[in-house]
Amino acid sequence: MRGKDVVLDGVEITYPNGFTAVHQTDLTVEAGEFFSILGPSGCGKTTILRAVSGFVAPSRGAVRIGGEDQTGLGPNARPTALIFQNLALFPLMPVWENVAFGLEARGVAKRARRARAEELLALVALADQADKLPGELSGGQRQRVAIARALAVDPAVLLLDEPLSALDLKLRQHMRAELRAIQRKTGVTFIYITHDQGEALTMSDRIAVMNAGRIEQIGSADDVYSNPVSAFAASFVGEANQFAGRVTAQDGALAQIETAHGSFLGRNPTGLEVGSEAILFVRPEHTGAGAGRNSLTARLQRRDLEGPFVNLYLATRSGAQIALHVPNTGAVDIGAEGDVSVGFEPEQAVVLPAGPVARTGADIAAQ
Amino acid sequence: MRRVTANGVLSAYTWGFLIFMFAPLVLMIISSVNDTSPPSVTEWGGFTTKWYSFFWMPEAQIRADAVLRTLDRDRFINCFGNSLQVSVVVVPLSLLLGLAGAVFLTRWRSRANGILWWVLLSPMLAPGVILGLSALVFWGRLGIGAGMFTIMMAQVTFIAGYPLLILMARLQRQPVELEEAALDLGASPFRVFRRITLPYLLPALASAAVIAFLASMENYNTTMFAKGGACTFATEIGAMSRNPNGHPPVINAVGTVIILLTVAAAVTHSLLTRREMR
Repeated sequence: MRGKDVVLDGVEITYPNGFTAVHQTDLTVEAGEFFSILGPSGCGKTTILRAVSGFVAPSRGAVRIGGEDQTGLGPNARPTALIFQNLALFPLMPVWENVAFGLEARGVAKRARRARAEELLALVALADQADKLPGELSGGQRQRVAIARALAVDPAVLLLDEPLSALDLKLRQHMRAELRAIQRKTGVTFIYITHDQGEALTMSDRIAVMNAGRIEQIGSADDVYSNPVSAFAASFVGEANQFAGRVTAQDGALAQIETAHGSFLGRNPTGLEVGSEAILFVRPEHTGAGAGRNSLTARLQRRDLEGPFVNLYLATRSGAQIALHVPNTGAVDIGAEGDVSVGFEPEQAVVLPAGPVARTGADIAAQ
Repeated sequence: MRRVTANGVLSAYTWGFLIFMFAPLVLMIISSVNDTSPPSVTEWGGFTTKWYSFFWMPEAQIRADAVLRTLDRDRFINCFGNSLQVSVVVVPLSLLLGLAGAVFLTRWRSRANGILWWVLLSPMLAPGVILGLSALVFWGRLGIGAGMFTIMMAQVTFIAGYPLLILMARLQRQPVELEEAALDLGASPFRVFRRITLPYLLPALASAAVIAFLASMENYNTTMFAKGGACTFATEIGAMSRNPNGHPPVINAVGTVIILLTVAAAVTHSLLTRREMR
């Protein structure tokens, strides 16, 4: 295992203009882990990455890599390599010199540099492109050159700043698998920054959900998706139907919430007390036709066929928007006319403290 | 009567402007091959290249010519040599200062940048008289009299602004990430500069050098006040043109050569820029 663990110990980052990009944060990324930081743009995730790589000094707290305090060390003295969002390949150097640049900086002789560069280019399946300029490569190839260049310095930690965002969908999906494979093969700790939940969910061992300079939740992909602990995490990762209201009863692991659209029962993971302002979240795939223990009466607004699935959008008389995500079994999924009953089970709904929620695709489309 | 349109006014203005700019140059070029002195285009004395060949003409031939006989060829060549010497110091020094300023202003973001930008560029806007005299006074206080050295120092104060502007424009187009990536891969700041920033700047440095050279060669007013007893190409032409018998047509020949060199430099520059765009 080549990777090292990364610890943020009470790190707080305030820019000279007074803006606190990252509030006091404690975070441990295990050695050899594929760790993603997921959040909307401007949430502070890139700032954390730059603090780990040494481009930004924390205003408080310390970054430790493999147990060693990195305070006072510049980016060129840390065992990290950063893959930039725009890749930052050196346009005037051939591919192999790009890959070998870190070795050049370490004083490795030219012949040995070239040999190592070719080895790494073979690892990323670009062995025959060594003498081209980066500008002559395709987007996916440039991506792989950036990975090879970062791996050349034998980093203990590889930091990736949304490196796939410029690629088209097909290539992005392919590169996800490739990144994951490279991470497994090398055992390097990966810290991956993204605003794309699909990327985070498919690749990561663990995910930190971040908003407004704070980490809201850390957990496995399954954990973050199925057991969100904050309103933001529930609304940002995946889609969710939301009902805001007030807790009226508490019954073991469940809580009753009174909303403008009815009274519902859901899990209560944060132990909300009666009277608390809260929001109930339930996934569209856990919302179905027919009255469950929680039910609403609504009218179909739109039906989008997505092949294996059908997305149904309904609205209640009280104005709530509800999305359903049902398998396309060929049967008629829901009445097209008039009022229908939809519902969900309390075990699949979660009641969380009221707080900022992420804007959903439906919100943005509605504008 | 034809109606006067906005377009008509604009094209009349444009033509007027072009004539105003280029007619003197055309007249100069014509009179540079006219065998008449003082120079004239109305009084055609026959085609000649003697105004051009003045610089390498045998001594006997010069003495045979009534106009050329009165000119001091050695002094003129000596002054031209001085200009080259000045530019040999001024061009590299301006590039160095301009480069340092450009890197500083584009890579070191501080609140003082706005003020610094004005301070560094203000000599370009300052009248040459002031630059020349202040160099004269400043170095005089330090015990260095007016001469070649003060010419160089006075010229550098404003010529450094050209590389500064050209290199800043280029640096602003280079993503900072390239330098950060190199640093992140373990390179020292010096290596980052040598391997990443400098190669990227080379075409811009070349055009800045050409422009600084031209600015140094043709500078008259700043040089005039800083030169003391020394002379340069430009001040000597100035002196010759104040000849009471009208200026000798040799100046027209020299002027024509300068135009050709300038056009050649401009074409080279735009070719370089085009290559840099690709």
